Amino acid sequence: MEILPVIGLTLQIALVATIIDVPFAVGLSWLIIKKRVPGSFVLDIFMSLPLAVPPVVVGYLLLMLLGRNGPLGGIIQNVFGADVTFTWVAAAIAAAIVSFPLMARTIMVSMRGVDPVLERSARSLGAGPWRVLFTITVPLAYRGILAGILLGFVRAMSEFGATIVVAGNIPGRTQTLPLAIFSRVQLGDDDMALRLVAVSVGLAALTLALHNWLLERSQGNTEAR
Amino acid sequence: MMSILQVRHTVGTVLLFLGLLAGTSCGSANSGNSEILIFAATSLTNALDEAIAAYEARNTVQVLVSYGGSQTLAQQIATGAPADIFISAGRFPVDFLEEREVGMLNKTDLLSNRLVLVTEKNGPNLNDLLDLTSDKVGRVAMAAPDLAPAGGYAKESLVNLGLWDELQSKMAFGADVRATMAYVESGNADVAFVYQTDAAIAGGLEVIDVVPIDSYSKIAYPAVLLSGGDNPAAATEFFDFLNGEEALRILVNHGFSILEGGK
Amino acid sequence: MTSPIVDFHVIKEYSNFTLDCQASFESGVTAIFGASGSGKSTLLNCIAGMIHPDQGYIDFKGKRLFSSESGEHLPPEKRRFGYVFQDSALFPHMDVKGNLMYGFNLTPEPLRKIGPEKVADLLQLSGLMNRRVDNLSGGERQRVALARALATSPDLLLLDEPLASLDGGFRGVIIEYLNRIRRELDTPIIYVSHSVSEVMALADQMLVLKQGRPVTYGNVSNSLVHPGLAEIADYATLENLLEAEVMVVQGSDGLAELKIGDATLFAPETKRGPGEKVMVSIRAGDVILADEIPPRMSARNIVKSTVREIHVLGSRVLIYADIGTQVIVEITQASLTDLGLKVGEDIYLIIKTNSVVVLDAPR
Repeated sequence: MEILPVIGLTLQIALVATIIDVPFAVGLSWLIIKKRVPGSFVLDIFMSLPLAVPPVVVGYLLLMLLGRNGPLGGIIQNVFGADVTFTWVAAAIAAAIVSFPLMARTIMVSMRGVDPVLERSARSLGAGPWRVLFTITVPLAYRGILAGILLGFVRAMSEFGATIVVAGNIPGRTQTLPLAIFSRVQLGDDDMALRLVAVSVGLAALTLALHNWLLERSQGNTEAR
Repeated sequence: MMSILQVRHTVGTVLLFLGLLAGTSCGSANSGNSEILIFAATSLTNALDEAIAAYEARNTVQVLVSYGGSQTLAQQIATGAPADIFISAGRFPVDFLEEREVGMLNKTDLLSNRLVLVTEKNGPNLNDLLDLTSDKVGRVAMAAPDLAPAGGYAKESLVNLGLWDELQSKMAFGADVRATMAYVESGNADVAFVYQTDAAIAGGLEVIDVVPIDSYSKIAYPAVLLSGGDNPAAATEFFDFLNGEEALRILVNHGFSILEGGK
Repeated sequence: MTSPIVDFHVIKEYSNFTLDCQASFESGVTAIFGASGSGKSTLLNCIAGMIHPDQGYIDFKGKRLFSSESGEHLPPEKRRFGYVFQDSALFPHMDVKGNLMYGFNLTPEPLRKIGPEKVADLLQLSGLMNRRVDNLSGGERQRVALARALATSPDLLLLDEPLASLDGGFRGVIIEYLNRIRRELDTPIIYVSHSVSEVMALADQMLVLKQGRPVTYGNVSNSLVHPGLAEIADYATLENLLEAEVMVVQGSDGLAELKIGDATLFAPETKRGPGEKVMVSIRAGDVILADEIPPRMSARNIVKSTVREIHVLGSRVLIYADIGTQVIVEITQASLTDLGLKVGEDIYLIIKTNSVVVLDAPR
């Protein structure tokens, strides 16, 4: 088997998962931390659930939802005439859901670090809530937000349990690095498994190093204020 | 500083990008006739990949396979996975599909397998299963009978031969055949019950063919042509290919056997 | 009586206290005075639109901003009130100019009455424009915060203890600037403070709050001696914060000479040049009264004044003395009896040089 297409697919799926997550993670963090909308407490728990339940459970719920017998799957069948399940899109959705809490919770912490007085100050200067979010909150929390995005990305790259259930383990289509490693171990192809593990560890370590570096700088920034 | 206009622009770009991605994926799934999706037991990976390569060389159809545990795959199919063909290790997952009234167009007992023992190259010298009770054998590994069919067959054999109770204290259970084999490879067990096909791809282990073939039920790998697939015509063609001579020869080369009176 | 600027009745309940306050503020500078936890910042935030009152209404120049009855609630960004926070709340990711332009750019063109150049000039920020805000002194930060609020041409300026986090010298400087804003712009100001001295120096009217309820509202001189205020205010630390003009930076005796009202006072030193304005602090308790000039004594400042008001507040007495500007003197009841003071009489104020504290931190 070739390694490069697996890396490519893994990065593609993790990237799309991350892109799907970012607007929701920023939006929900804002609603919970800054707007404190009614039900924030419940919302916080609900969005963190994928962190707490086994990914396999997420996978089965998604399969039931998106499968052709599922409520959403039926609609998608009618609209697009195609299945979502067992495609890379399903893998991206699974990775997006499983990695969401890590991203959102990191972003929430960074947003909490932005002094509300600055935001109120901006309001008094004529900025509406959205403008405050994009000109004050996000720029001041951006290192933490980037760190959260990277953490979500690294989790999406390593996603296994939910993916194998809702997207299967199809080489060239949904077989990401973790699934390829699993398959190679299953088949006793230890040599290839170890090479894939090395790639996986390398990618994760690189992303985490970037994440830590950003987080350190972000804390330095907060202290300086 | 980002202006609201720029933000809108960025969001727009992202949405457009996502739309394009969705478009390409649906497009490829939509172009129907060129793709079929097979769900197959992990133990078939190498053999089936070779058979598919041979098939694809002559046909325009692209054959995708999702490999996994047979029961997991069955569960996915029952939940609505768009598989065209299912090849299971063992009959139970297919029985499960029938219970769930999953539509099937055709069903054959494609392949069979055999149980063998594996030891390390300089491991104990075994002439028959009775030797497992002797002092030269310490720990005996097998897949957990409740979790994996291989374990079920091994237990059945030992029970029929009257050795099960005596060997109880020596037993170590792995989650699946691979894990069981790893016990021997790492020196944590002296001998393990595994499928002949798994033993064939594990270098460095001695294969001892001493499990009487009539001491356990026939190990079947049923193949099922499902009615819920996206591409029944192409799937039927490939299903016939699988049950044909060329494919079976490839599979047998990988250590599988053909079930007597199958087909 | 002119029509009110801000007219309101707000009720806001919290678990440990309730704000329930009704008042009408007139133009000029209105102070909201109270101890910490009295609800003064809560009230200011209600007026600003940052806090949603449980009940009541808020009108600004006859326009309804909030009404619990009709459900109206004009969001803060639409109220056009400048708000200056205690710790200045400058945006750390922008330079001084970025802060200044933030609100100006959001102000609709027809409503722009004052440009950033004028504001920068008024608060003398021209040299700071490209500085990062974390390199500014406390006084500079507060000036930028004031400028940033003024650059939106606000209809009302809300100041939440803008001097509380500044040390003495910088306090004086900001008071100078606030007085300058008062003189040069026609913007009504609401000023929250827990310092009687600041209120006296800056405000025309004051509302006194205690545990969320109004105690009194009226002009500062009257409110200062209201019995309700006596319980809250610490008269012993009461300062006269007075505007002075430097006459001589260093005279023959090494002292600075300052003109305050009609009087000339000696102070230890000043960093300002001749003709410049500077704020001076004189504690009410540091001033001695004498009915004639003592023949020999160490204090250098002897100023003739006229007694305008005498207020007895328990054991303490406040004398409002006129030296061309008002100076409050705090004495004991026994001293009042000894001196036999009466309103309209002349009396000498004796002040040690060291008691004339010049608040002349660099601007």
